[in-house]
Amino acid sequence: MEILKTHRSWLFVCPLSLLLLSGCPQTSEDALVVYCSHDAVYAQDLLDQFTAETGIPVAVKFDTEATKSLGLVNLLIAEKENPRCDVFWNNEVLGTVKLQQEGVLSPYQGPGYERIPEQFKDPDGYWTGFAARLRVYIVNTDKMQASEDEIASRLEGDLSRMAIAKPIYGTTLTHYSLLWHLWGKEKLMAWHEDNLKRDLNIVNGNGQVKDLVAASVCDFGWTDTDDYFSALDAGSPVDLQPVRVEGRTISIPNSVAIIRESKHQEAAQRFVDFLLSEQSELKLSQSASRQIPLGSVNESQLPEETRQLREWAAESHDLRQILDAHRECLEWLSAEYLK
Amino acid sequence: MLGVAQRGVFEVTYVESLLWTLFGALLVAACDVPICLGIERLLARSSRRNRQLLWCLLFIPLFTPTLLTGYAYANFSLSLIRHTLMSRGLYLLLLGFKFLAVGTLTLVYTPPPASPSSLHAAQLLLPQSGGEILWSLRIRSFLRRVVPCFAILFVLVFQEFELSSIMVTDTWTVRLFDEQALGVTVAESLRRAVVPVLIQIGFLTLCYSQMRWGTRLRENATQLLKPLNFGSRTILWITVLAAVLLVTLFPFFFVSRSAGTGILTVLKQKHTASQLLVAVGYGLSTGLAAFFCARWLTSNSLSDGKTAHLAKWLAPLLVIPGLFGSFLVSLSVQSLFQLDPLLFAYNSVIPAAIALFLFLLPRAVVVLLAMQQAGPQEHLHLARILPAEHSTKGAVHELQWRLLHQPAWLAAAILCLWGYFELTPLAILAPPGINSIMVQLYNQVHFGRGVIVSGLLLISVLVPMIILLVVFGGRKLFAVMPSWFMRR
Repeated sequence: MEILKTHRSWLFVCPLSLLLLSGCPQTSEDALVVYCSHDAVYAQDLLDQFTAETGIPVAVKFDTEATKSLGLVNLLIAEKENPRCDVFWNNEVLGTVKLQQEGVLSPYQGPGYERIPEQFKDPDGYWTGFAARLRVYIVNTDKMQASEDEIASRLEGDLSRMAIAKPIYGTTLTHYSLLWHLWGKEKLMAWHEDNLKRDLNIVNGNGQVKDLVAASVCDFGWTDTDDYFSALDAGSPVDLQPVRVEGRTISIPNSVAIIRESKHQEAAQRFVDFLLSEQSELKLSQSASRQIPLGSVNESQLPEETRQLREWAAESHDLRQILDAHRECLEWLSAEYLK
Repeated sequence: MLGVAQRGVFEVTYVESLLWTLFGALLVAACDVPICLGIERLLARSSRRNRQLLWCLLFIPLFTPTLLTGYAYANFSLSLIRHTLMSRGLYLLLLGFKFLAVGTLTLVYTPPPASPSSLHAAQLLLPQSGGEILWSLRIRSFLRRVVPCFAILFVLVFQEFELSSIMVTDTWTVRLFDEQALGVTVAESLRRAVVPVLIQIGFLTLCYSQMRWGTRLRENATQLLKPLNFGSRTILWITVLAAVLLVTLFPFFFVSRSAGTGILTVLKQKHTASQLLVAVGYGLSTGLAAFFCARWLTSNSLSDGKTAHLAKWLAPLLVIPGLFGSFLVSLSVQSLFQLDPLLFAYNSVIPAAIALFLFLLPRAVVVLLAMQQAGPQEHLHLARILPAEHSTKGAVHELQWRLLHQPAWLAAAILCLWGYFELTPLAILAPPGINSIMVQLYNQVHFGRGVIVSGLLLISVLVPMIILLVVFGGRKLFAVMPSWFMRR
């Protein structure tokens, strides 16, 4: 069989290609290793800017959207004994807190830490929140009004025109964990059961909730502000109302933390201060995802929509109080899901 | 609770997902086999030009990136959220169309049916029980051709992950992926994957037992196939064209609408080139490695040489892991490289390359075994010993290329393409700083960003096409140039 006998020279191509890959400059020993679950399109700009300003090269590993940051959290736990990551930039908080509990993080309280309000950071400096998103109802304005009364009335009846993401990960898990904390296990489970009976649609992610509402397949649903703005920028007929639980909103910040035994402590600290700076928060607020700055910033540089969101974020629940609820809620959801 | 629409987190268990996938794969295989049998007959009775056109149309959907198809139908599939059966039907229809080429190839390379003369001979030789033997011969001959085709189609659909993930269809592969996000250990995931893997091994064993790889396709074998009437021919052509339209053309048109702006946006991002390089590098290295390894395994395990025993033992050890799917292979490799003896290589390109290689290897074996049947050995031998005299040098080289080298290059190119488009091993195992364009693309598809996705998709499809054109076109140019200079 000729096909099995020719082109021995190709044998050289395989190792050559691998050599080519391993020679990429980003993998050098000097590079600061950052694991990042924030959207690569927006994060990459900031990472490049950091390198341009400090001369410190950054090697980044992004998460896949489908695993909603839990992929990197699990990876960091798996690498606990032999860490290669220096800094974890998470797009939510509870996964980072889990890492703190697992002993993966080391504390740091630099100038960036100081400018973030107490509510959004760990008192010992193991992690610090910044640039938040808000949980909102995304409403199709061709189908209903985006008013509190209209939404409240819809929530009382048939839910076949409402969508939420699976609560097993991402910001919907945080949302459920908060409900668990405030209502208790029995009430949340009964409420969830009741919603399913009333034909609530549960999809894979917040992006899909946004798509369903934008395409008028559903009239409204839970999502995050970044997804809402993506629909708005695409010209869809959508509006928002913040989700309020017992009168307060749900604000979910990004969080940043240094990994214990990081080989580049000084560079890691510089990166954390850079991310927590006013400049970075402003840049993220001006991006298409309109992240909400949590520290003090020059208000005149904020986009109009972000100013309103900032006011709502100031009324949000303190997520540091729901850590136990998060663990218990995840255990319940996992047990149900893994049947 | 089979038959009840999948809604919510709690309504479909893992076993139900598995049963749904099993049912879907059986359905697709059952529907595709008669179509492939028809296409095989159509091919046998077509002119050379029509045959080439038909093969070309069959291969286009097969090599259309799943992300491209999935992205085009994601929103439509989502809009069917209250019509789960329709959504699932659409997913299965796309897969059925995509794999028509594989089914037809399998039929072409399995032994031909019993000829009328052999059936007559059987009747004459055994007049007492001729009727029974005749039917037994017919059934066995039919099964020997149909079972491998059915089994391979089944395994391809049963193993599918990317399309079901993007189109939000509940399958066992997506289910395992979700479970990992919930923190399930690799060991537990592997344990849960044992049943689906055993199902696949069962089907592949069935396929192997029915398929006599040693039997070569004979020129006259196609003559045994009955001709088709006009209506059947029309229906088959429409089916093949519908496959190209639904799996490739519509998604390509959908993406191209905003690709102009998208490509500009993507090209402005300074990391696009390095992300492309990463995908090409991994695709090339692992595709070729899988090709050479499969070449060694197949040639040695089929021979009676000294290494045959070793190859027969190594083959299942190396090939079976790939049947677990790229996701579980990647997680297992990750755990392996966390162990002390291998830790030194964890932060390198090696783990992702190994996972991708293991994933590609079963496909490489199938591709090589199929190509092994591609023509009579006598032609190859004659081509090899053909004297290349001065006046006929160009023609001889061209003939030798077509018969001796082109199949190998094609097999390697197919494997490299599969490696290039594969997402999971790189998403999980690539070291920091080594980001593939496929991971970037997958994330963008999940965020639903139209313009950037369109640009990225188009670039990621065009790049391997350009490389293939350069490689194959460049060779042709190289072959033509000497004779062109001679004429001057």
